[in-house]
Amino acid sequence: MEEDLFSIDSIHYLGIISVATTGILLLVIKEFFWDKRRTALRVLASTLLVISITCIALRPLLRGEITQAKAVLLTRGYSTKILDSIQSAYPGIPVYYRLSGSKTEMQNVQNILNVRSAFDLTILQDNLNQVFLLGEGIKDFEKSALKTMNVTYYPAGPQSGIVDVIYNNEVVINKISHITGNIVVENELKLVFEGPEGKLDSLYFPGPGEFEFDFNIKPKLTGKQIYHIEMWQAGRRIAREPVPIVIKEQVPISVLILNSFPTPEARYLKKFLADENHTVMVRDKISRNKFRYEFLNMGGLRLRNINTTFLEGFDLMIIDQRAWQDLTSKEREHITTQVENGGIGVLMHDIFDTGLRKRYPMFSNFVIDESEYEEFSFDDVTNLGPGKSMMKIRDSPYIVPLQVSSEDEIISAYSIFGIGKVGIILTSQTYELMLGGKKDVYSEFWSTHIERLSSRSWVAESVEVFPDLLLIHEPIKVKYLTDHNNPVVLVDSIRINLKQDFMFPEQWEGEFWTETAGWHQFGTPKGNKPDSWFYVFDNNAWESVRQSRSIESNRITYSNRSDHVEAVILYAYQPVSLMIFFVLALISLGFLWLEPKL
Amino acid sequence: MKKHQTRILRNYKSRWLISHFMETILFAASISIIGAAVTIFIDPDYILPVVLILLFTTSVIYFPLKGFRRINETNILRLLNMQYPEMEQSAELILRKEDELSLLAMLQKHRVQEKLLNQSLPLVFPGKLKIHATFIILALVILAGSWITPKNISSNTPLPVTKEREAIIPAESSPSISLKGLEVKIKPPGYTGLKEIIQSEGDIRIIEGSKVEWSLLFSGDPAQVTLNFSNGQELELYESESDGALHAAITANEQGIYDISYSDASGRRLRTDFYKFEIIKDGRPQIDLEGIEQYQELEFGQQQDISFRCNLSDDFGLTGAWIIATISKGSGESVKFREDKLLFESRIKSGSREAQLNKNLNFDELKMTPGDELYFYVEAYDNKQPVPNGARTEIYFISIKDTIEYVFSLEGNLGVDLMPEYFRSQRQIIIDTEKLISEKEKLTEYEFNLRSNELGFDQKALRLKYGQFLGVEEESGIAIVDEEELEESVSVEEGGEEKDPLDAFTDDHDSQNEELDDEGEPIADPLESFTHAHDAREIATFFSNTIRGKLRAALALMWDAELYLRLYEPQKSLPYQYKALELIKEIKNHARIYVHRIGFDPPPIKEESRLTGDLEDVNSQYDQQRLEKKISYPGIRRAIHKIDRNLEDNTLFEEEDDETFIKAGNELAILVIENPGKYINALQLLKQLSNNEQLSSKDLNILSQQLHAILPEYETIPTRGYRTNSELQQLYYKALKSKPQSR
Repeated sequence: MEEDLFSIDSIHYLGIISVATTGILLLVIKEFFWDKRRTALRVLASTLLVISITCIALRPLLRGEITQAKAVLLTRGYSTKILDSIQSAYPGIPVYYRLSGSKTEMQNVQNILNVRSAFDLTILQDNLNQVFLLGEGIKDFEKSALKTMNVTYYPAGPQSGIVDVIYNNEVVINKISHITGNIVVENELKLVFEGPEGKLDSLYFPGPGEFEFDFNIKPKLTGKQIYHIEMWQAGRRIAREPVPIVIKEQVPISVLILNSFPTPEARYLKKFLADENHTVMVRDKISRNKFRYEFLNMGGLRLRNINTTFLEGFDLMIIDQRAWQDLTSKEREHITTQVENGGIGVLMHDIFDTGLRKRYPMFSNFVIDESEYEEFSFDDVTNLGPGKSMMKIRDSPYIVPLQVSSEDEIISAYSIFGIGKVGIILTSQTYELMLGGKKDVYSEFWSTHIERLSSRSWVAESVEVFPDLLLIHEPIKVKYLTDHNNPVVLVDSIRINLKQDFMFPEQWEGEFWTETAGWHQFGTPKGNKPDSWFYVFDNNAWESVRQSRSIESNRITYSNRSDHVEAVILYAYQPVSLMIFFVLALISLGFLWLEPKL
Repeated sequence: MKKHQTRILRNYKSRWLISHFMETILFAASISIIGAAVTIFIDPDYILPVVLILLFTTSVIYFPLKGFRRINETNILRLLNMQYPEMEQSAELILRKEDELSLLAMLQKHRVQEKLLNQSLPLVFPGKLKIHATFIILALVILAGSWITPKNISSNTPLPVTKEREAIIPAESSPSISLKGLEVKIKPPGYTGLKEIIQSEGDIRIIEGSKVEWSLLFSGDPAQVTLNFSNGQELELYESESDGALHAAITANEQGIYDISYSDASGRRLRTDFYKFEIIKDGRPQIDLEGIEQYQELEFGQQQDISFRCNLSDDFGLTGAWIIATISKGSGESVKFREDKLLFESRIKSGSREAQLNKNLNFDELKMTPGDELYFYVEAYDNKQPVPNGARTEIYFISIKDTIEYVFSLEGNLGVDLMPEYFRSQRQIIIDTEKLISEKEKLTEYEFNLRSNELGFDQKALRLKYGQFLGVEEESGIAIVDEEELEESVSVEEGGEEKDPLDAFTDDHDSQNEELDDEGEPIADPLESFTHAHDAREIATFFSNTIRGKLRAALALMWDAELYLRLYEPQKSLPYQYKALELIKEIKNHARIYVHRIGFDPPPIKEESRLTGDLEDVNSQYDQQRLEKKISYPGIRRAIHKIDRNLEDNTLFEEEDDETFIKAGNELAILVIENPGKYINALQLLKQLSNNEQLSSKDLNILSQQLHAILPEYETIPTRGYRTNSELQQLYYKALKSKPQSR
């Protein structure tokens, strides 16, 4: 496309220049043949005439020094003190105010011009090359407007209210999720957390300072839900911020449990998993080469030898060390291959041998030491009952601890092996939690282990949106990963244009705006994946959070600009006034007309 | 000419009549409107009949009376004279016959006739049309006023009016019959001492056993008015002649919810909202003892009495409280129990809600001696009718130590009495002997001798049984062997090496107590070959030396007892029997400790032979199960989804949704019956939804919140994660694999 444009232009210019040259030649020849008097003058006049006309057509530019222009761009929360000092330093400096979207912020002060975005500045003022930016700063997409300029940023003063909030906008049913954040409090304040069933929690902040807050949710129903964080001051609600969350259904896991003999631990675990719709196959050794097979929530399988094809049907294998050693070396090899290439997880328990790592490369990352403590309490958070372990796992950069005892000893951990994970767990008395009625702690414990280690399902497509807090009338970026050649993504059944990433051909990017706040949906024309929801906030939602994030972002962008601006001389090509050529053309024409009459 | 003239006059007349008719209608309408305005205040249901009656009667009265008679030809001509000067006051001449007139008059008649016939002269008829038009506007204003002002039912309505709850029916048709007044009279049971309550709310919260009486007043005449309770009970209301209200009464025993249903004139069934019907149970009395421990053991002579205080309370009133005490004397076979009902020092004032009673238990008064034990509990009753609520405390123990008595303890927890049954029958033999002696007079000699001999046989059997414990089996004249023992001995003889069924489950720990030599064989006694230790009377018993001595003494006594019984001299036998019994009691106490030492001691298993059995016929086992996870409240879950979707984008509910709401309602109803106060609002809203009624978003929000709150919280469950199958990810995993992972 660009090449095309180039050729059109060059033809255009070449044409004009060739016509002009031909014109000059003809006129010069004519002058020589016409009359002998004042030939030089006539040739000069003719040449001048043609050149002038050509220049009128070509509009030439001249490189010259340009005058520097400064401007002040105010944004919400700017300091009037700084504005005053800038105005006294640069009298008559033009001041603009970038509207934030909320009407109350409209500036009616004299000599301050309201603009909708930083882009307006470049239109309203020529030759602008230095901008003093005050207040919360400009949005990311506006930064390109000031890219070539020298920007000095004076951030807004300290914020109050919720300055940061972090939560996962996609959670799984019956799973605890946290909504955390920071709040800056000036006067005493109460935060009330509200869920679909009404008030869930509240926090009281007595005095000035910055505090952290943390609310827990444990959704009971799948679907889209909007939680709310309310700020109350002196019995009056001052803000109500939405926390939209998509709650997904639990996806069952296929677990293979191999036991060298039946244990209560395996028995409780099997029951726990099968009750929650997971697929479980259990093999207990009864005697030499005699086993008891149990198939829970799955069809029966005839198992002769464990091989990769058989293992493909499972996400996780839970095995005790004796059972592991009872396997044939071929079987162990198959398991190792399946972990490495297939992504299946292996969790070993009932460890009796600290030399495990030396014999089996898969467990090479686990250094097991003898422990000083025979008993430990699981965790101060969950406060599990005492467990028993004579061993501990040595901490290393190659393992990820999963359970740490109150004595800071690692009781369970996993390490990455190929694309799968291998873990070991040194306690085998967690079923006592069930006996003690602490089913919740038991579930939490095993859920963590099983989720971390299980192989993940492969998703061919995924879609992500940016930024964190999506707002109406502001650009939303979408990143779509797919192996389709010509993917189509619909936002509320409207197709958006996608651009392929030149580095990663599977990655497609697009940009769109929404006009309504609330839930919106991604979809594909066929109705298959991705089918995900995202929430677009109203312009006044999470103002304090957005403000503090904007300040941070602007601070980072403009941090390397010095406060003292040195006089930078800028040059630019400026158009030569066409009037000169016009006058020249007139004079030449006039002379050529008058000369024969003299 | 004449005809033409008559037609014109008739024309005038009919026009006047129309004008009068119009006037009548306007007047009647005004009166009816005012009537309607008044009726709105009294009873809006009667508007239509009132209006029709007024319209008819006013018209009938007004039309003939007011000016109807004036409408005639003479008056028309007079009007012509009045309104048209060109008639020259001589229009009446038209009606006169020509022969009655003078010439001049005839001329005049012709002139007038000519004018009347040739020119159509419009006439204005006398009447009050304008006044009546103003009147009707005024009446309309009054009607509008009465429509806007709030309506009150006139004082002759006997019942207070509740905030009317609209009957649940589709919105487009308004009911002509509605529930106007509701009064609930609650008469709590007499014993509670509570006053009768009259309330105008349908929600009821009452004490169990209260009598509830409903009085309902309807506008209109409903048919088949019933109260429908959640337990399926339907209560029909009867009409009272005195106040015209509908009545029904019930004695409250079961809680739940209810609504009122009735049929209107078209036979359509209408229902009101749900009301709660909550029952407060009369609680049991609360008893609290102070100043006494649950178990106390006192040294003899240390304390002669013990006092404590009893705090009693009940929600409506107590009637009585007392102590039920049991004193046990003696132990073992001679234990005796005595039960007593003890009263407190003061009495409860009947009907009082709280009481503090004191009691001093004097052991002398209770005739307690060392070794005796006192068990007691406090029992209290309230004034509930017809069956009072009773409550009792835990049992309290007081025992007085007896240092003389044998102290024996049951070690461990072997809950089986290993002593043979005959140990108990020495006492039985004594009782029978005593009975035989007392009956001697009544019996024949033969009978007496026979029974004495039989007792002698019993005594022998008992002796032999004890003899077994001493190893005197060879002396047995009569073999009394347990079947089990017999079987055991047979199996040992036959099998020689009996296979222990527990072999598979035991390991070498079981034989740890055995002394083993290097080869795992038990060490043999070096003297074994030189002695014949089998069944040595002194050794082959289960008992220790002291017991053995006692047992032998008992056996000797039994010999004597048997001897006298065989000689038909039971009197002489008795002292021996008593002595034997005493010894047996002592042995029993010792034996309990001893017998317990005998445990299961399986034979040792050779380590190398473990797990070497032939497993050819043993197959692997296969078991398949499907454990379906039951989702609680599926209907409520679906209903929440529907409601939330509606709240989100205002989509209308569809017809299929009704079924969802009905299902959710059914699930909720079970909860409502359990806690009537809690979810009734949600149930009502759900009912409205299932009836296709549109709810405001505020109501829907409340409903959604309440339904959410019902859903139970479950434990965390693991879920499978996912990862994107992109080239980038694959590259990453490839890089992971190629990277050395161990140190």
